Amino acid sequence: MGPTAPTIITITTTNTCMTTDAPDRLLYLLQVANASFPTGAFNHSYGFETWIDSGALDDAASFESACRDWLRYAAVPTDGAAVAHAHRRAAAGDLDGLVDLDHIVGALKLSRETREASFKTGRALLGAYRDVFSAESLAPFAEAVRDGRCEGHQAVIFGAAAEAQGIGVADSVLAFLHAALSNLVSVGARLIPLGQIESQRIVREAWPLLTRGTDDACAMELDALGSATAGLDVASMRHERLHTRLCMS
Amino acid sequence: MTEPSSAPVQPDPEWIVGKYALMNVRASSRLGRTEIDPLCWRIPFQWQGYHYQDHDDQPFMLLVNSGGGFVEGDVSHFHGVLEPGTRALFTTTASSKFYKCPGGAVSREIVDLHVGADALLEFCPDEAIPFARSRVHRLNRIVLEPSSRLFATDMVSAGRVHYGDGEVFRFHHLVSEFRIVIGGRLVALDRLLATAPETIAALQRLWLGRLHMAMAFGYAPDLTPDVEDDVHEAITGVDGTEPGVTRIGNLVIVRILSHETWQAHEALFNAWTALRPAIAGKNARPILKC
Repeated sequence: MGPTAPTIITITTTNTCMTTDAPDRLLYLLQVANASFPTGAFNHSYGFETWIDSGALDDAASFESACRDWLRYAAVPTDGAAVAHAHRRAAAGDLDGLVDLDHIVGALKLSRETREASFKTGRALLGAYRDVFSAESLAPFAEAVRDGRCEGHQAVIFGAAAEAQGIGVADSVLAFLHAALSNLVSVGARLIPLGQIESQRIVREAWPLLTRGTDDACAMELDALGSATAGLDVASMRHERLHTRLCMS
Repeated sequence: MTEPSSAPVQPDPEWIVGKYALMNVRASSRLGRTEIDPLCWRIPFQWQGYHYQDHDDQPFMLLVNSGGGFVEGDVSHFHGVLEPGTRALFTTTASSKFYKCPGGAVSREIVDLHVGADALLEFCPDEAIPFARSRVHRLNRIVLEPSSRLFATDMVSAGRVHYGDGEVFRFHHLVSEFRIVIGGRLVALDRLLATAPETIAALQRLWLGRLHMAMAFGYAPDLTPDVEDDVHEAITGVDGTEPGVTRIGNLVIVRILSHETWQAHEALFNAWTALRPAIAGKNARPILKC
């Protein structure tokens, strides 16, 4: 029997192909987008805990519907698009552009807890990225965060770091959105609660939404970043006053 | 992100259709009070002066747009500068009504307000109502110095909710933005882009079945500790509303969803009632508009 041909896994997105020709890039994404990467993202519900606490979300169907709306109308047109813009600005060495983008990302988050979740996970990502990958490429941005010129939001750092690792724009956005959704679903799994299979099915069913959202986010102009999820803003604001809270946001 | 200039604005020469309402005003300290000068304006905005409803140094100005509403291609642009140490309140005489735009162009409503050091701006306009088939761009930009003070509201309705058998979320295009810059730094950006049918249809869910979405922003460099708790108490309990309040530094942000217009108005007034003593040093009052 002759040697078998190597298996090539190809994931096609808008503007790049990822293959096992570049295992380091794939491995980087798998590691950074994994829930165990120490950013603390799994502690944040972005207001969903308020809805679960009130009983508005009490089963897999209602939770899945809310997750899909959150992904489509909040995550994609804010953080997802910000990952793409951060990637491009990092590629251009545009530190001021990254700082401005960081301000926009923060300003779009209209509740304290959601804004804090974004920059706390961002700063944790910044530190872990530097320490785990011995990477100094984000040192100027890290200095801007230290100096108080910007807050250091997760989407901005994720996009800039991915660029530094040679990941394409679309793959960066897709990995970010997938990780964000997975983290949120894991929150639902703990709080509602949901079974592991049910949870994973929600993520799998969202694949078309994730790929479409990636395309949308990559094509979004900076002045189109925005959120339509006013109800979730209210929930996030009310989360500050919940009597019993398991999540930080 | 480029912020608007504090210099008086002129009509956009590239804008070739519709009425172009323009109002440039400047608030200055004179004779121990704030006075508002109209630098230049174009109809259908009308200059009708101002008055002192609080019987103190702060003028209340009613922005009068006699156009009756925005048809396709109409623009209104209100541009104001508050010099350091002044204080003024701006409101409108009626809601901004946006009619259908069958040709595919948009109607545009722009507000640019620059607030000097130690100045107070209170901006309490009526709501925007995008009718069926309207195409609307709204842009509110408020630029503060760190020592400025602010109370501002914004409200968008789903349409003419009691017209016929109900006309809600029937507009074709809505971009609505409210932006606050303090000390050159963008601190709040409430930007709704509902330009695709799928997004517009989703708003009914995303607004939790409510038909009006309102915001209030309060800022002062020395905002009272825990004033957001007072706001929470004040806005909670208005029938038909889903309210939330948060505080980020010295900026208090209130989000209100309601079934009826009056419910959002009442919750906004309650937020003002809780915030005004801390921001303006006096109590809120019903604003007289006629």
